[in-house]
Amino acid sequence: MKRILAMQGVSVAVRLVAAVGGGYAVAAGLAALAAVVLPATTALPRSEAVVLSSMLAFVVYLVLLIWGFAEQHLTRLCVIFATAALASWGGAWAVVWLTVGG
Amino acid sequence: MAPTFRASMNWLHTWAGVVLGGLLFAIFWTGTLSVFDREIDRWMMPMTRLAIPASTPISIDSLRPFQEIAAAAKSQNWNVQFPTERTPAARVSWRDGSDFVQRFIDPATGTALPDPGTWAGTRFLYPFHYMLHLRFERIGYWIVGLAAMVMMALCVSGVVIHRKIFADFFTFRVTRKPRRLVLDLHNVTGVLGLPFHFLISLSGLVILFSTYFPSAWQVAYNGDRQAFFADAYGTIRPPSVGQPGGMASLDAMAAEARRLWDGAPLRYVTVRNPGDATSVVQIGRLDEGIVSSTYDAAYFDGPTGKLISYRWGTPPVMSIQRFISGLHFIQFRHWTLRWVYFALGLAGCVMIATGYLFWLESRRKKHAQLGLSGVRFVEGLTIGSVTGIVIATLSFFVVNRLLPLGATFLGEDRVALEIWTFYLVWLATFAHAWRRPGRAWIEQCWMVAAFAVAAVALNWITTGDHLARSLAHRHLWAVGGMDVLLLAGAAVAGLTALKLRRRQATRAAVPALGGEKQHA
Repeated sequence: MKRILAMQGVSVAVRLVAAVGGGYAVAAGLAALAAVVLPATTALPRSEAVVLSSMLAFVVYLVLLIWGFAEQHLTRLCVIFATAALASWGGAWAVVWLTVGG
Repeated sequence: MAPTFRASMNWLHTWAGVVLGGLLFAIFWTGTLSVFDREIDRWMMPMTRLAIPASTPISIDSLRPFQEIAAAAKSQNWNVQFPTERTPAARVSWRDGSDFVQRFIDPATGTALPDPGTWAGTRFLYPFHYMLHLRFERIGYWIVGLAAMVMMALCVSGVVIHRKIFADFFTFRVTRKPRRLVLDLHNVTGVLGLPFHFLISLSGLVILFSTYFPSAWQVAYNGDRQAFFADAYGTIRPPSVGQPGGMASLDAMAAEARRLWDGAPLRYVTVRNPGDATSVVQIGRLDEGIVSSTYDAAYFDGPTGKLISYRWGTPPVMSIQRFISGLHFIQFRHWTLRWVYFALGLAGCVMIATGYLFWLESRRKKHAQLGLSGVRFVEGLTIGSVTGIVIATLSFFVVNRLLPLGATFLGEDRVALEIWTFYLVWLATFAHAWRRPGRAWIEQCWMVAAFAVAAVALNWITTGDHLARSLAHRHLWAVGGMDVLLLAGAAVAGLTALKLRRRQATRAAVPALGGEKQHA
């Protein structure tokens, strides 16, 4: 009984870190990506793209938070958050590097 | 995590609410009070209870001596706020090292008013609402930001776990069962206030988008915050060259700004790098007629007084951001809406408090049977978070009327003494709640009533502005309104205490009767 409770405690702690921290990392990465992709591909000025992507990031973060507490498979949750965070941050830096290089 | 989506949301709603409800209550409570922060200022700073200023603008050039003090202190900015209906005294401010210095000016005479020795509503209660006065590494902003995200998650999960959201809109059963009553009250305030609670959290976050999602501007602007602000807000902040420079007539610049804006009244004048050869004068419009909290300002070169630029209109996305911010700031002039915000803020407080009560009432029996201490701990947390912060706020008002101007104690000035009172009283209410379970609700309700009445009485004794006087003079309505709300709050708290005592008496009587039967 005690062991089951301890395991539950650990899984709740992991989920908390994944949903709150991981969700934030993904939302912030997507905001950064959108802030550099939008001005490069559309007529939207740079500052406007920053404001738009930062504001939408709150909604994205909310959806990720909700999903973070609804997803039944903790491993799947962690893998998806880690992949999405790496992809969005990597993508944002790649766009910056390409636009500065080009 | 739980087998169904609804069960997961039930888990999230329950535990996020229990863990962060106290923090959310503090943010909602101080936010609700901030709706009337300028009115609280006038109550707590009697020297600023001036007649509503006439439309003739004050002379900024006559305030030059203060600019020289600011320049000598090497302050980055020197600011003048014009008097308005809600702030009849003009304000000049600057920074002296890490200290923010503010002086109130009587617009009729142009002279400085005595130092009020309090942070009152605008500098204590309002900043507490968005940063909890935890300045270290801006940690307070992050805690409040997380709480706002959780508030939105609570709104979403609350809707999901509701089976009959439409029926609950009309359901309020005043029965003898307290659990049913608090759940209905939680649902009614939650469902009625849902759009407000969701939007007030989202708009609060959107105001500080560059703080909460710095990744966007950091990546797009290569970490240059000033460059982003210059693009987004049109702010001009010249680097100081450290050479003294003159200053052309500020009144002439203000007149020019008014002319550019077709005679619109002005809100503020800010001199950037005061006393420096690079000084720039920024003049802002008073936009009381629109929701948007605009950043439109006219910029002048300080030494020559020549117009550099003036913005009229903001790009589309930024306009949306400013509109959402304006919805949260409510700096527009609309007294009915101001009261609606106040009422909805209070509804939010009721929702959080009843959420706690429902959690407690659903577990009380079970925890007692199993010998768990969770209910007792959470009940203390609830009492300290709900009636505790109300008592702390009222003690802040009471001590404000008791301390003479210029009072010091143990090396702390008057401002600090008031704030210490707030925190120490708040801490004491938690201790009281944990030490006296079963009695704490009733006793703290009585304390709320006593402190509120004491605040009104002390205001009368120390300023002479009793209700009959303050309600009869239009420029004292802020004071009278606050007195009326204090007395109404005292009445509600007193009635609650009486009702709780009666319920406790009947509860105590029932087992006693049962016991007699057994003996017989």
